[in-house]
Amino acid sequence: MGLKAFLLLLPLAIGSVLGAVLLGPAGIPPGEALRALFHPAASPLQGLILWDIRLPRAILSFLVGAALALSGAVMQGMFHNPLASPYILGVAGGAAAGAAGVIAAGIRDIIPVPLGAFLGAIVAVVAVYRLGRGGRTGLGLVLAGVAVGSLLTALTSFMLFLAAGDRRLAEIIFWTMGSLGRADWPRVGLLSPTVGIGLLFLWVLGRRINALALGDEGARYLGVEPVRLRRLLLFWATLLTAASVFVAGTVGFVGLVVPHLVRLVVGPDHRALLPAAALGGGILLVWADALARVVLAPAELPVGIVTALIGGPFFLWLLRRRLR
Amino acid sequence: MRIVLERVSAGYGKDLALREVDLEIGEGELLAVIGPNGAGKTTLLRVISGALQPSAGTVYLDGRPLSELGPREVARRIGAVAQIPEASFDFTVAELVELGRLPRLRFPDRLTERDRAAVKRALELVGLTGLAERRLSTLSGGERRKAFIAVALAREPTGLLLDEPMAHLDLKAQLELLFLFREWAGEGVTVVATCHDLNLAATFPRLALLGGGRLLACGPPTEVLTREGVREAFGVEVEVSRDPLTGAVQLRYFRLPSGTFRTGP
Repeated sequence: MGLKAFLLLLPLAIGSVLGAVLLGPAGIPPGEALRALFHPAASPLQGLILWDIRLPRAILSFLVGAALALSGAVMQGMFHNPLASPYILGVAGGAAAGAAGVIAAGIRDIIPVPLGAFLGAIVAVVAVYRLGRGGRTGLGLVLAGVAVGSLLTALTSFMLFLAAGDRRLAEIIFWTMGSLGRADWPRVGLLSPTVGIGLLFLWVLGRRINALALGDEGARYLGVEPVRLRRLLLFWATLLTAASVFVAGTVGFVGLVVPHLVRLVVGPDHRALLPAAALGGGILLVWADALARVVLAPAELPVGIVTALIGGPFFLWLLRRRLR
Repeated sequence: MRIVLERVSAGYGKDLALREVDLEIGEGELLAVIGPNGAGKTTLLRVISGALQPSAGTVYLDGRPLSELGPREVARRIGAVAQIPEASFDFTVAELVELGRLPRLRFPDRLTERDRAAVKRALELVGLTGLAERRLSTLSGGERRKAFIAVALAREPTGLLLDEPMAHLDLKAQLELLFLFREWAGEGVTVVATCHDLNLAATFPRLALLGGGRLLACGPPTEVLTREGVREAFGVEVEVSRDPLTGAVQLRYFRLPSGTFRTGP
């Protein structure tokens, strides 16, 4: 089942990236775009648009979506909580606050923005984990995540307020609303090994993540040390989220929605779920970003708005299903 | 597997649920742990499985102190099934039972032919082969319990610890399980099961009676299931007889000390 889903999604992912490359406000017909993509020397301007703007952006969208969905799938698996996600547990908010803090304070020469994002994410995770652990359903974690998340949102808004009127404002908005407008090859180069190694690492641990579903005691009966494993998983989920926030700001709902969609199709076995979720998250964000670019062209919508518009209703549908 | 407990005390916080228990369980032995609610039955199993560290005393598995064996090593030898096993995702039976093979797998946790055969046999042993592709949410209570017993069996353990394996099973399923226990014991697997139904427990060759965290008696049913023993542990008056067909100990006419009468267990 897992392999079948993976082989089905892989061409879809490649097709999506190619499709997104052909879409854009420059008004290049698809046939010409394809030609320019494979022979950039024939039409230098079109080749430049495709190779240096659209292709890195499509690939980066894919990687960000994959990182978020992977992170969300792992969080849901380790907390036995279907409502867990990078968004709900405050990781993304922490990363945004960290990045915004560094920018607003004007200390980016001392602490680079990505490091600020990563530190913010770590602080948020540790706070949520410490405040919300205990109990069997993981409800405490979700509640702690909501509380810490609101606090961080307030902090980020405060820094937005401080930065109002100067050019730092636009930069902080980039971190809070999410955008792939800064996509370039170096960012692709940063995120692709993170997602690649993360996926491989987590996929290898797939069976052990499954074991966590049997509860802490059930996992111990299978020789799995739940506390140690959770710490390791939390590290990777945080790293993946923080890396995605660094290149694209906080894009919500992908990490919550995609693992559920994929679980409906491939089942809960994490060895099938994790690769399929990564591909599914990538595909979703590629199209969400394409929509964000095209709907109000030439103006661009923050991609976080598109994913929230898709993800919000789905989240409610999920909630209704569980409440029934 | 040979299990030895040496003056083991264990508990949760300050309260001791198990007090200075000395117990030896031999290879291929079939032991039922009985006693009233809160007597320490579950705690005894948790201590042997390594899920709970004793606060004093030592547990030995095959002569080696449990604390020296890693969690994986213990899980390879012992299959344990909790009273109410949980699964927060809706796995298929096959996926669940494969998980039981985990302690035996080497990095990166891929199943070999040998592993697949063990999983298949575990499913056969509990009679769930036909339901392998069904999801847990579609199973009856008895099928679900069997699936988790198969999880314990898939690792090919030398010791099985089962907390109330017979609870909520129908008569046939209870008997099937009892026969399976005997079969496994015959193959050298040590089986320790807690049991609330004393007449079911009486079909085990050896019983351990717990009360207030202490081991009150240990031996064959004829020695443990006496009027005095049951009165001391459970506070209930019983009449002990022998089944005319099988010779098994039978308890009848349970009565509370206040004198109210009712028939049957």
